[in-house]
Amino acid sequence: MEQTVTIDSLYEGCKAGSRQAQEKLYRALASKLLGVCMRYARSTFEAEDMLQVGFIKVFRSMDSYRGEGSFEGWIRRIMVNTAIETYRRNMRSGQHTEIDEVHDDVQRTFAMDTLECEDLLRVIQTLPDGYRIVFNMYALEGFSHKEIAEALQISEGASKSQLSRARAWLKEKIKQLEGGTYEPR
Amino acid sequence: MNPDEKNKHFDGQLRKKFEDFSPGVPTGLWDKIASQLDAQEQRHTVPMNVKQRRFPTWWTAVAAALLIVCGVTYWYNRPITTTYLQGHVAPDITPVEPTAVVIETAEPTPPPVPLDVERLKRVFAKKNRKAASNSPQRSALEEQVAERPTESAEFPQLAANDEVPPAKRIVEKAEVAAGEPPIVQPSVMEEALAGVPDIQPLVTLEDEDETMLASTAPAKQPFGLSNILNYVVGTVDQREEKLVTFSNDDEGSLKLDFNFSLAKNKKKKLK
Repeated sequence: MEQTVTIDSLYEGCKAGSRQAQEKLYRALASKLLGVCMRYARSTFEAEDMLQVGFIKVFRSMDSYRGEGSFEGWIRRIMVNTAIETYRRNMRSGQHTEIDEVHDDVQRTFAMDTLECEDLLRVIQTLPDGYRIVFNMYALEGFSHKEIAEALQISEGASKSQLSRARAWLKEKIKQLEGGTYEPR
Repeated sequence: MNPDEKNKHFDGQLRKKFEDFSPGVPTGLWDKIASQLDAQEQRHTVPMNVKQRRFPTWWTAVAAALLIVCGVTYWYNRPITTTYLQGHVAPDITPVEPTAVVIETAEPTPPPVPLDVERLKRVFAKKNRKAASNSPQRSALEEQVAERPTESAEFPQLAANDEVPPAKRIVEKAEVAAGEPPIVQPSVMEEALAGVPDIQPLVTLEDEDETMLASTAPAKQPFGLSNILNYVVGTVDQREEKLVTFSNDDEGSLKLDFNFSLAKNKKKKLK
């Protein structure tokens, strides 16, 4: 809560173009936002690029923040938008792959306690771009299928389908990581 | 647990896992962002400066255009000194009535008298002696003037009266000599002639000649350039009153008077 207040207090300084306030905001949020970018990106290198472009956008478009929602949430949304733009750029360059049909073992549950974030991240980053974006937006960011469809300019059905496939694919990969351990809850 | 709940549970587990995920940020990333922001700000400041300069630039352009127009106008209407050369005037072709031209002389001019060389020699010899003896007298006179400063107002008159009568006499005698045969003795006459001062050559002042020639040209009216220039300068810079005056004096030369602080040494203010 204290950090939120601190971040909000930096808004005026950032809006006025104070380099000091901008750096403070960067120091406060860069690590957490890099974690977000890494989930959307194919690599750490691409995630760092996203973070840089995203922060430039944040500082350049301070006037567009109207106080609806938290300042940090607005910044986070800009990072997600930057990730979506990167995905679109990759789509234009023809780097697009599909997931082959995977069997979704809905009966299985995962502990994930033994898994590190880096391991899970590596699995997520191996997802094809479209699936990774949809899964991140729906499962981890809480966007609806309608919002995802609008953002990615796809149909809601396609969004649902890609989410389902991404989830099944991830379960399969995590099962492999956990060594086939099965933990009923 | 139905499939939807299982899926939600799976999503929740992953979300929780990444909730506090904060990987290390590479050092130097902020420097890249800051330099990029600086570059963008520089790009943004250039058009702003241009916009700020637009107003003074516009006025400067107007002032420059006015100055050019004024300069061209002045150049084509500048006062040119006209020098009238003297030469033979072409004879008037129109016939002139002989009654207006012919003026008969009432008295015939006397025939030229041959020069009496011996007499002239005597006159010049006397004149030289007089000139030699005059210089000490004059210095003595000046000393007297210095000794009596109270009478200085009357003294020049007296001195002039002392000197004039001989000259008057000479003129009278010369007139008499022109009309009638000389009655006075030759020695007195020669002495009087010796008293006549030498004819000094005329002092010709070229400037005065030119002035007189120039004055024959039509008088030049003061032109409105100074008014236009003062209006432009006053409009552009209203900090202080400025006055630039162009005028032609009697001699036809251009005078430029200016009364404004542009000529001040600004370094003095800095100290």
